[in-house]
Amino acid sequence: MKRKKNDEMSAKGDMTPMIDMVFQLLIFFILTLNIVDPEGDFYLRLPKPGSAQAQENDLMPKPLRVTLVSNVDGDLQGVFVGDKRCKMRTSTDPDEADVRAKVRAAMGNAAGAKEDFEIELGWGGPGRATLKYRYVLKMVGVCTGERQPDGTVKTLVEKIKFIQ
Amino acid sequence: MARRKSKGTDLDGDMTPMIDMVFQLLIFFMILINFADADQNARVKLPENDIVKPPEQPVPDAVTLQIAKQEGKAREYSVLIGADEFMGEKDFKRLKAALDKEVKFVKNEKKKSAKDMTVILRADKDTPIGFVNKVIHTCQEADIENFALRATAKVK
Repeated sequence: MKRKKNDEMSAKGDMTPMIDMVFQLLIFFILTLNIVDPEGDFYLRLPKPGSAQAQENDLMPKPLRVTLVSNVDGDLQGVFVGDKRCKMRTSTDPDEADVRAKVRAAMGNAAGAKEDFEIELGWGGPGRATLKYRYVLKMVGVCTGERQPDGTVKTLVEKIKFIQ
Repeated sequence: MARRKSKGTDLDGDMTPMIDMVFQLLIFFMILINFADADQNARVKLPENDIVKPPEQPVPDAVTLQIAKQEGKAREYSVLIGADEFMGEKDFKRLKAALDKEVKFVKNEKKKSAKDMTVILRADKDTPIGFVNKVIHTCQEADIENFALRATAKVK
């Protein structure tokens, strides 16, 4: 018992520099910590227009054209699936369920396998190229699939490309 | 001197649980730290999406391109590869050269072609799509055709 106490004492004597260092490290890690939200990707295959790959794609059934209409400020004003206008929830927020329903309807009419069904995303209106990226990415998401109540994602369209 | 010594031993006696906790905290923060995120530019505000999921494994042969607003400008955007900044469209020749260099590296070092490569695009949510499209076009000029459009995963 006596010996143990002695050991303890000597260990304590050496601890101050270690504690200093540990605090330094702790402060370093606290300061360098930056909490980022998890990020995910949409994978798109966009071959160079006019390349062999692109020409091969041209032999496939014609893709469904989804057009985003924007104003000069780059805000979304409307969405067309084929030539059908989709409902909007607010002036810049499309009704996702309506967009998906129209895409599904077009998919049902299309010839060929479901996996080969392709959407071609374009933009028009007075804004055209000023359309903000977030609306395009949102539409890519809407066309890619839908999150189910159980947390899984139900895929709608696998192939999406941009008009160039 | 005597007083100091006795104070010292008093402190020592109370320190064990604190050191335990400090070590716990230290380990917690060490595990949480993510140096890979250090190259992400704070100027880029990614768009949010509720269906993206973090990739289970890193994208192979990827080049990360970031599109951010130019500092002090309202409507001008620039492209970043690492710390290399390409200021808007007038700098796209240099961007193409940088991409060619990446493609050449993958070809020489990994014996793969540009078609196997992926461009991870971290574009600011307010970027005009015309600019994004021109960046994509520049990548296509370098024979890259796989793109990963990155978004923040936000479940509604």
